[in-house]
Amino acid sequence: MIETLALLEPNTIGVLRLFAALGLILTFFSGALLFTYWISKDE
Amino acid sequence: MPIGDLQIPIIGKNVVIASLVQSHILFAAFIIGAVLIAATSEYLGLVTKQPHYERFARNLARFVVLLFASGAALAITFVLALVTLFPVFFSYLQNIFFWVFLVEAFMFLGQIIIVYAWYNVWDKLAYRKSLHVVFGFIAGFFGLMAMTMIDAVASYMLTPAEAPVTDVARTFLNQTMVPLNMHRFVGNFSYAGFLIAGWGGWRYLRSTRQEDREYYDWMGHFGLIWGFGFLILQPVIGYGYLKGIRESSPDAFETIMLGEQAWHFNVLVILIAVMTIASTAYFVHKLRFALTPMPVLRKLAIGALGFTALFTLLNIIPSDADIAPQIGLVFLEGEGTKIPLGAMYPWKYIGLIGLMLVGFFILTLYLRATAGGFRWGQASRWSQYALMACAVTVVLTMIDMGSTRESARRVDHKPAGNGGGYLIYNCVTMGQKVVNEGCPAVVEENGEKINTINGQKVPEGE
Repeated sequence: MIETLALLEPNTIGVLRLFAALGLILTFFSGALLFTYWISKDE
Repeated sequence: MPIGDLQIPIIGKNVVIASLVQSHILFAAFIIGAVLIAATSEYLGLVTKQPHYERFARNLARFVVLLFASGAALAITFVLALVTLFPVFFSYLQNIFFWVFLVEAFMFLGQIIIVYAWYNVWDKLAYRKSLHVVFGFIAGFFGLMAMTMIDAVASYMLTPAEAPVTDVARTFLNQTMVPLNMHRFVGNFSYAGFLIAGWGGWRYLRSTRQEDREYYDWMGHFGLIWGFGFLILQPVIGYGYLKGIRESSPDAFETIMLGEQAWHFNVLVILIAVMTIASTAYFVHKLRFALTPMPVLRKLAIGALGFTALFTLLNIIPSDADIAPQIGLVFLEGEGTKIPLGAMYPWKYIGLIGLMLVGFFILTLYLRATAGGFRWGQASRWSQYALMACAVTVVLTMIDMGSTRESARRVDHKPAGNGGGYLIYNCVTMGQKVVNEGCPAVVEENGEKINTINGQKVPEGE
């Protein structure tokens, strides 16, 4: 799979990686926000 | 000892850095904006004696204290990832910005200490409120200074100063440092304001007690004034920032405005449309609940909503049918099919300036009504959905704009290496190689050229 990705042209792999980054950012952000809410909600 | 070139399978190392930095920025920007908004609210509580200001400031301060852990953890993980994945580049950065990084570290430390102290002495300084408010503003100041330091690094990466890196002042105050810093300073307030408004909207819908409904209704309104008020300053500051990029790094400017990364701005104008229309619609709705009936003001606000929709629509129209070739969004003859209403001059200028003027107008009307007071706790469900839509949209806007700035250095994916492009524009490639040709940090001393990025002599003929 790694070899296949390396052969893709920059734009194609770029689109895949753009969505991968977007997914990761939203996961980290919403995960940390929800965690902070969870530890503080009973106060 | 040789330094290994570590690769991350499938996603690549750029995605690792992007996701860690961008997540960190989403927290860091919120913390800076929220601390200053909370300190201002505490001060307003002191002056007006209205209890919701104090309740809001204290709750927000507690949330910031708790959120600090996530923001700081992401920052440290990012630095670790940068040292591991881009060790050569990081060593150059450390050489160029040693003092800047050092000051930033101490500002960060100062911010942590003061934010924690601010929250912890809330009751202890209950009778010395003015002093306590100062704690909040000092915490905000430290945060702003930390941001200023890292902005010097980020702006240098896109527009390196035309001076040796040993020229500390010119390296620090490179061509886009001030506009970037202003853009982020204003952005922090807008971003934090919209998130607070969204949170207020969500809590309002979940609240059953009338007292809580009134409080969260007010919180949504208060957050939106910050969010929208600072948002309408952004087009003119953003224009100044882009002008700086165009003058210093014209190829990078072409890439993000007309080239393959231009789709970022198509996404941006759609996001701005959502935020401005949702905010204006909220204002129109809220004017119904003004304590002093204001029918004329409300009619004017409805007119402003119409103009907002018109100007945002004008901004959304693309300049040609080649919208995002990366995902096949090309219509008719692509670049050959020009759309007259999508041209930058005059239509985008009209759209952006119009949006700002209408924004100022509606905000003035709304603040006028705010001075007379509102009946809280009676807002409709959809008005709260509008606030929540703004909160989601502002997060996407931050991600889109961060991605735009970092993609600007990837002009035609050249020079090759790790996806192509530059880490420091025209000086250090994505493959961490120093280039001499076109690098503004190359200087001539005693008849020989030196690249001050790595301190090496430039070979003859380069």
